[in-house]
Amino acid sequence: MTRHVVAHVADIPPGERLIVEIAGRSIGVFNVNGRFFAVKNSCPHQGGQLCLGRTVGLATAERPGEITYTREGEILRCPWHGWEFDLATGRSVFDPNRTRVKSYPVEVEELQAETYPVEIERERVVVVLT
Amino acid sequence: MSAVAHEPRAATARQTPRELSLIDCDAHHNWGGVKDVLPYLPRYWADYVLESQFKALPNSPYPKGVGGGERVDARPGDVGSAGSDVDFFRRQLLDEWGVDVAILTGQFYNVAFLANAGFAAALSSALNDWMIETWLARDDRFRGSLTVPMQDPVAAVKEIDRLGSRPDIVQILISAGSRMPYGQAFYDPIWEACERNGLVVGMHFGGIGIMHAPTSAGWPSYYLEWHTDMSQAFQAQMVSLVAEGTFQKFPGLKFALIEGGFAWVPHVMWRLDKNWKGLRTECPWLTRKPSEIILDHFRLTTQPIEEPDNDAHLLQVFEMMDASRTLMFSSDYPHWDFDSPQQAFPRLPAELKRRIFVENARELYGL
Repeated sequence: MTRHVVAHVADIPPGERLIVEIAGRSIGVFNVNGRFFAVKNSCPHQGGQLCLGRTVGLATAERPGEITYTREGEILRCPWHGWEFDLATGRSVFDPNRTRVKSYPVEVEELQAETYPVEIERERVVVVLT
Repeated sequence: MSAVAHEPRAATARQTPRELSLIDCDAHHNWGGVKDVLPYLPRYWADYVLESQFKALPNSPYPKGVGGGERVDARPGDVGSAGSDVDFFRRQLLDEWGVDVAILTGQFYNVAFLANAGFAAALSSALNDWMIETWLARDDRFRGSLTVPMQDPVAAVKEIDRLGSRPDIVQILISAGSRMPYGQAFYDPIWEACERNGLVVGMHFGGIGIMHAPTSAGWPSYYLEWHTDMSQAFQAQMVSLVAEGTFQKFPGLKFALIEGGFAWVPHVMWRLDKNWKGLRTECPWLTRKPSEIILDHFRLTTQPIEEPDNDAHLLQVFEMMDASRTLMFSSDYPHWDFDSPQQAFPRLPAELKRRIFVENARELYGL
């Protein structure tokens, strides 16, 4: 397990994502309403750059025609064929147990030892490669 | 006349368990002409028939290139159309082939092709009462399909509730061609009534008159084309019913797709599953693979059996569509494209054969 500092928090505002290269892997780091998630930038379907897709909500329906739309911004849709993935888990919506994208733990850590005269960013984003 | 129809006949023979060896899911009885149902029509509609010289239900715009659409040897004598004589029908289909149960399919779903919904409703009731008295009462091996006016769901529900609880009525019968895809909410009351009465929805080859063309390309020129293309209408109905969530609304509802072919089923299942993965947000009530819904809610009949040059290819299709669950034998007697239960199939594994010739239909229709 290795830790990789990828950005300052302010670099990825809520609703935005940053695609970074870590140890040869392309990974998207997403800020979803202040929570950070990271998934591999490759769709398990046909290898499209998943992290270029839109982040959307989750459409569900108890009954035909009665659609509810929740968890806005938490679902990533592949830009190629529209497959949906839960950013929090990497699990697909249509088959959460068998179709997943690799997801990585993300931590936000305080800057502690920096002693620059003026500190602009106080936190940075760390992706943990597992 | 409806007094008779209201009284289910003693059905003891139907309830006696017996070993079944052959169920025919598509056996077309016929009338000798509209005169047969005149006594069952209300006076107004009987006079309407006479005054307008209405002779026959709308039929295909294609002169049928073989035997006028009938097996030539199935015509009882010089008069009468094939399938119109009960005794001849029993001898030539039931006795000759050892059919234990024949689901009577007539060709009366054609009432849905009439523009006048009131006339269609009256004819439906008359045809059903006539079928019960003239056919179902004559032989325990017959089971009936209700004719219903699809132009008017309220009237259709009324007819389903009038007769649907009879033990000798097992389904309604509708055409694959329609005015709008069957999954759309217009038809929901009909499906609700079928589910409530424990009736299967039989969907049969056909669709003219006020219905759309069987292809999205329009009306083809030849009967050859129409007969081949009809599977497109079945596919569209299957996709519509699944996508619209009809089976979430009516979980007990089952469809029997009759004379629409079946080799297309793997294609539809694969394509629908694939598209659902990317497009499920349009229909988020679909919480499992569409193909699973298809396998649970649709059954298909065999005739006209696909005849690839290589028998092994047919067996592969059977495997792809899980024929041991989904496929049911049908002869289409007495039409020109009749399939013999003994000759139409390549050699089948015994268990699969039993499923196709008996068990799938027995389970679907509760026989």
